[in-house]
Amino acid sequence: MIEAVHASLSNAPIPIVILQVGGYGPWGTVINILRGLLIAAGGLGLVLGMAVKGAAAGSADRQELGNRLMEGAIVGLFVGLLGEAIYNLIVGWTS
Amino acid sequence: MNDPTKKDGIGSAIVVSAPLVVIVAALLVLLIGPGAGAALAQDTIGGWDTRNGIPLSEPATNDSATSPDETLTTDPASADPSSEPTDNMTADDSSEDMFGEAGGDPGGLEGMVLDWFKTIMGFVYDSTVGDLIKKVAEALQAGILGLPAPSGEVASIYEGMVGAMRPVILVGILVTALLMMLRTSNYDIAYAGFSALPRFIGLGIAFAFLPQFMEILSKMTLDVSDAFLPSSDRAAIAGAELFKSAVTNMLGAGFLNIILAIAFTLVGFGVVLVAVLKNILFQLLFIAGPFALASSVIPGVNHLAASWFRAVLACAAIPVLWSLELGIGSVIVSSPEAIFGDMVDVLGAWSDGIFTSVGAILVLYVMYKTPFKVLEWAFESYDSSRGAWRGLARGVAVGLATGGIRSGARALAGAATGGAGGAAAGAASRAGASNSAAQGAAIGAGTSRAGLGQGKTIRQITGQRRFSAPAGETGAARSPRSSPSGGPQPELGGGGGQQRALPAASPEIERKYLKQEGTTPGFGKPRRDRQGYIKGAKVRGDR
Repeated sequence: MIEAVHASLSNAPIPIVILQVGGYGPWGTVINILRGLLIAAGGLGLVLGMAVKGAAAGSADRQELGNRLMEGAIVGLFVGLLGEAIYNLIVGWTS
Repeated sequence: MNDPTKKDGIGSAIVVSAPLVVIVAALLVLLIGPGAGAALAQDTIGGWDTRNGIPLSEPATNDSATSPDETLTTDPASADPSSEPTDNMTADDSSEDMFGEAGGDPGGLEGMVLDWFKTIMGFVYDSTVGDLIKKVAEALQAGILGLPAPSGEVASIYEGMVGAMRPVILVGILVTALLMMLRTSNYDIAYAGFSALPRFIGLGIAFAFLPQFMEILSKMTLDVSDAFLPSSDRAAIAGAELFKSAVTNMLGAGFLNIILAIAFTLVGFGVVLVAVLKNILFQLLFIAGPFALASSVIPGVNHLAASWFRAVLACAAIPVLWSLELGIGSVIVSSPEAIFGDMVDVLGAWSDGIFTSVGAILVLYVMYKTPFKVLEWAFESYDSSRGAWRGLARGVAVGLATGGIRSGARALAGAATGGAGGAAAGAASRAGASNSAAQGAAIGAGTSRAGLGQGKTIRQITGQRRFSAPAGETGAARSPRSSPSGGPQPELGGGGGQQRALPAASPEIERKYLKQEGTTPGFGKPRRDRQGYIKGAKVRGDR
């Protein structure tokens, strides 16, 4: 199962392939999957948020929904991408 | 054995076999006498004593070549003047040998052979019991009061473990980012998202500085145990005095002393054994540190980190407690009258200083039991008082017995009321009202440990309990099991209702509430659902 996922990720489009850096030992596959999910969800959230806001017209509820979608996408991407830098910092402490 | 007629009996026996004794003695004296005597005296008796400061036998009495000044080379700290009372009881006093016989040279061939006999027996003693005691004393002095700081290969293994577990931090950060992206209204997920990031940073810091922490902990343990033991030379004094006074007192005479010597040796080895196990456990905990620390951020298993940390503290507490106990032990053996009063020599010739010996044995036994009790605190559910198999068998037996009794009682109750099913259904319908006060109290009470808590629950379910509820309230979620016997607590509401007796509950109700009682020990955030129950109970109680 894990090998199949890893193989499919290896043949994935360019963004996921670029993210496949090693050095995580047995956690490498999990980290790759999570990063793929994070980027995909972030991009989807941004696109959906913009689409909802565009179609909201004068509806305040839909405007709010679009805001929440985009806000969540940006926060998630920010934390996820910043986590890489935090992790590298921690690696510097422990090695 | 102190009877002086014993010596005369041996002498008369030698006189009877005079020709043979003369031949053997002449050969011994001429051939191997001087060299062997010097070797035995130099290598066995007195040599180790001077090195370790534990004069089990006086060198001057066995080795004529040893000058009296050599005995003064012993560390003055170990020559504790407080040990003087016990010296009077030692078997190797200048007026008595180790077998309790009176000193003095009978002279002639008889005296020479007797001296040789005693020398050989001394050699046998030093090679067996003396060597055993020496090893135990050295183990005591070697640092059971310390905690070896992890280093070398152990540190390398730890680095490998950190390398394997460190990516958990990145996994956690990515999961947290996904949770924050979902922005769910679920309380648990939102709580995890908000609180997780600081925990991951803390986990990284813990990975980085755990070796330094363990090193500091080892040093603190040494310093504290050094401060607690009332002596500058720590175990070198207390341990040595324990063994010197207690063991040599036992070697005088009497069957009772043999038993005491055996008990002392066994308990002493037990102490050394658990000291070694304590050091091994400390190294194991250090190596397992990355796993335990990583579990602290994983919901559901974070109580492992708490147990791990308590175990580390227990390893540090054991030497400290031992130092206190050794301090008491040193008082017992150096000045027993301070604790036992005039009882010290109550048995006289039967057992010199029996209370000193027994006191030393008891102190060692307490030292032996201390690590198990401390680890019992650390691991909570671990019970050192009985073995796992015994506990399992006992649990099964008690479960079968109580289950059988309960089934029998239920069958009888069912027969008396027209069927157990009807009784159980009636209990469910009456108990199933919406008394959230009782439910909240039940959940609060359910935080106890599994064995005791479940036992109480079963009794509460099956027992005849009374509870009060607002009249007319019948619902589907009332718990009958945890209402106090005198009615619900006032602060939880529902007071003032009518009192009704509950019949035995059905197995379905038992399963339902036993399942609800599952708890998660260890660190964790407060459960909103429990707070909600309590809050709802208070609201209903106020109505």
